[in-house]
Amino acid sequence: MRNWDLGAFEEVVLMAIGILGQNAYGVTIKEELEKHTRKRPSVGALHSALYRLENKGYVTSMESGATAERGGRRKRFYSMTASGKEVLLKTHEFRTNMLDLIPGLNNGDPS
Amino acid sequence: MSKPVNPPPRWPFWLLERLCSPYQLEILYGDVCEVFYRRVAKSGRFWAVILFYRDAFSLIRPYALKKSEPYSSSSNPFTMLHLYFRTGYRSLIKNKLSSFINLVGLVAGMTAVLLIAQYAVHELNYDKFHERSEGIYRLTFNRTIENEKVFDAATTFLPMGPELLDKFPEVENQVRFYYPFTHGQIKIGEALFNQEKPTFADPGYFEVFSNQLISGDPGSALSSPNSIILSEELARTYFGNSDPVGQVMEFSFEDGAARLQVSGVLENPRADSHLRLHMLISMSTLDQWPTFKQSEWFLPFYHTYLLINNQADLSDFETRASDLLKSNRANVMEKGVDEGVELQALEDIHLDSDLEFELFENGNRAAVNLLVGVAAMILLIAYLNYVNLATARSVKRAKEVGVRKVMGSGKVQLIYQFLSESLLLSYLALGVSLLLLFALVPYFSDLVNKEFSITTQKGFWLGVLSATTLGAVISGIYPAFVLSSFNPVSILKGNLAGTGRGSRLRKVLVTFQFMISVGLIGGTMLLLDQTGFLMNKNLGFAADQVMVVNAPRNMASSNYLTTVSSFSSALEDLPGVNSFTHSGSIPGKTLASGTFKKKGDVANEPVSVQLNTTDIGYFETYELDFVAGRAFSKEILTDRAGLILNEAALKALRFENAEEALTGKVEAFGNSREFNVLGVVRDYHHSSLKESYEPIIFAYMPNRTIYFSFNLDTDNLLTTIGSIETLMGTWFPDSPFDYTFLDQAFDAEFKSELVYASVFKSFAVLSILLGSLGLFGLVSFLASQKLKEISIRKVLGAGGGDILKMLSGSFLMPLAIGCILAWSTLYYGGGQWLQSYPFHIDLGLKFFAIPAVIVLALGAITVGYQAYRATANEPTKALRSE
Repeated sequence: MRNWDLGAFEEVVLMAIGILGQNAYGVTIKEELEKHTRKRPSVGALHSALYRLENKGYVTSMESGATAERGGRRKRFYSMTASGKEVLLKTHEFRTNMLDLIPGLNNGDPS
Repeated sequence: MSKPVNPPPRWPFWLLERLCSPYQLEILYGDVCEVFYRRVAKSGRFWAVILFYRDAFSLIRPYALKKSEPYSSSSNPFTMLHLYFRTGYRSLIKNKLSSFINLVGLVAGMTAVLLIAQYAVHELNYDKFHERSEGIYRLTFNRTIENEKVFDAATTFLPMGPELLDKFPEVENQVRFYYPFTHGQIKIGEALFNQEKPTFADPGYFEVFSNQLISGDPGSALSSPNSIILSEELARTYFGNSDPVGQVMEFSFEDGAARLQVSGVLENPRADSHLRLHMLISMSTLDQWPTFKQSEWFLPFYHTYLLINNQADLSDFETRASDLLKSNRANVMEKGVDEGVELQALEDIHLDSDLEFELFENGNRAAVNLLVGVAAMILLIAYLNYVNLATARSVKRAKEVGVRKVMGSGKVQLIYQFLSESLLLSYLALGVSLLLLFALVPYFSDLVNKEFSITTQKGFWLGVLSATTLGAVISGIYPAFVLSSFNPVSILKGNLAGTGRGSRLRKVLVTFQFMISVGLIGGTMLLLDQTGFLMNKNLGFAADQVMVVNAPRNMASSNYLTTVSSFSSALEDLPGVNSFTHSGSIPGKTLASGTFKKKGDVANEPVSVQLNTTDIGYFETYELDFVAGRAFSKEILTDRAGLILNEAALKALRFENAEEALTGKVEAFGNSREFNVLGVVRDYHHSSLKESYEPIIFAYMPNRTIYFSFNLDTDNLLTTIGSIETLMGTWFPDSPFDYTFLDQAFDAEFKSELVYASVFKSFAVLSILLGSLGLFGLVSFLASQKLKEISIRKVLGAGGGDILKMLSGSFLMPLAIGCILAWSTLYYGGGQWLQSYPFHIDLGLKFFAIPAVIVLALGAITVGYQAYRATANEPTKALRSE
């Protein structure tokens, strides 16, 4: 685990993995991203984010499930780790905290 | 996916496979393919394919590339280095013959290249030791007619240097050198010396050049008139071990005499300087003789060096300096002739300058390049031998490769291993060559007749090291790739795939070696023959019988003629002296020149012709042939207004034939005097055998002569010379007696040719040796390879001749092609070289046939020996073991 930082793209990828649960691998993650955001990342860009997430320890991976349309190649399934969950929550927390501090932003807490 | 869809393009995978680690690529490419099929279903194949390419190439990212393979051993190749060198060493020891051939070849090649490189470095670094060498230029003077240079001299006029220093701010300093055309004479106490090139110089000498004074003050040593600086060597000759500074000497030369005081001692001139001056007399000494001042804008005899600051625009400088020259010479310049000055960089003078009035003979860039080229050829042959033998041996080592591969060695590691073998060999060879270099430099120095020491330039040695490494890698890479690409399974099964591998390359390389050998032998023969031809050529005069002595210098001209004629009549009583003459020039020395014209020839401009001033006996002493007419005669007084031409002058003045000349007259341009033509002599080689005959006119002017020539009987030569010396001592007590024979002077002209010839001879021998060594290794390998085949053939009744035929096929074809290539090069290159000599041999058949026969014979001996060894083998021995 290197540090607690999380890029914006890494964050949405991490959330997509969380949403997908057991079925999170390159293709499904890509489709999930396309569903929720306007992003259409290339496979390479996506995997480089996954590679970084794994390096930071927010996800783990295992390989299995070769299919014919993949040319007999295995998939790499990702799952969120505890620190992954923690970093998501922390990111969300400090984000809302900071948001609240912006004066005049209509967020139900007029100051 | 239920319905079959065409798969995505395949080639991106092929490319990515090379770039990416297989572990990453499997997952990534799987995703890319899956995405592709989904896209086909969603938006059609067209977009799917386009996006497929985008996705596929988006995979080329650092984390996916091969080097970060998480499962491969990220082993550092350097940890294996000592093992590579150990196995390399073992294989060198194991294959003694081929290692020996390789080593000898490389050592010979490298030593040759190193020696030549030392020589080239010496030649290329002339005059660079001066601190400001890049800012020093020599001012050259030229005359052009219709944009064609008719005269280009290393010298210019007396006031040019000081004028430029005065009027041109970019000139920081200047120094002029002047030396009389003939020797000077020095008298110290009672001792007499002749001094070649007694040189006058400006005090700027010590500021422009970096030569150092050993004693004396550089600021004032050359400033006052009548001071002289001597080199250490010359000071020792004149004054022995006593301190020369402050001593006086009587100096005389063609224009005057003076009493000089030694003001300093200069370090001996360096071998890498084109200014090898042993004597510097202060320039202001010349002021006491009015002739120099009077002729300041007439006679371009002054070597002028300028120190120019580095911001100056040189071409602009040349234009302005030429304008300055022209404004001062406006009233003397001839019509239609343009004059100008140019700058010549000091550092280029030694190799690139060949002008009129050079201080000393310069080097020759073409010759240096040629030598370097030849040395590189030798090295190339050596490396080719290495490549040849290494690929040929590859079959032998195939099993080793197989076992290594099975034990887990990768292709890259095998390449490293074979490369380190060639590196090991090369460094070993370099080490031996360096030792040899140190041992051989003195001999080579003698051979090329130049004193030079081994360079200490860091860049040079760094270059040698990197060139060796590069050579080793280039020559090792092909065998390394061939060897490392063997398939372990088929090798270990005993299936020697790749026996024929590289055989075509080997043939090409052998062809190349033959070509170089034949070319070098032919070229060397040509050089030797042409030089020999010129040296043995009849000079056209009696060179071997004529002894020359410098005429006395310090005599009043009124006495001169009478004393010389009394001396001449005294000589007549001496036995052994056939004849005597005194003249302004002798063969081998420069001539004066004059402008002449045939009388009545209005259509043509007057021509410049060389002029020799002689007395009566010149033609008899030098035994010149008269084609027509006669020599000067003592009895006929009108002969004083007569001239004698040589055949070339006859042609240059546009006379139809000798008879026309004898009845016609010649006009001398300038003073418009007319002369009768008394006779025409056959052409002879006056200045150089390398040039064609030049037009010469002989005039009777015995009062201004510089040389005494004696035609002697070759019997009792020493006695005759002794009595001449005594006689000269009585008549000219103040003149030193140094004699030379003309044939020696002419032989000295070929010194550089003989040097090159001997260097080439040793190179040619070396190239043949290396070539046949390589061939020997190759054929012996082939024979051992084909041992079984030979044995079976023998069992079936083949004789020695058949075996020889079989083996010689491998070298006859390359030899034939190599010969043809070398012959054509020789035909064009050699032909052109010969054309550069006006007198040359024919490019005969022998220059093509003899080298080919030599190489063929050596090849035949090599192959024959191997064939003999192969046939002498007991066939059962080779066939019994499987």
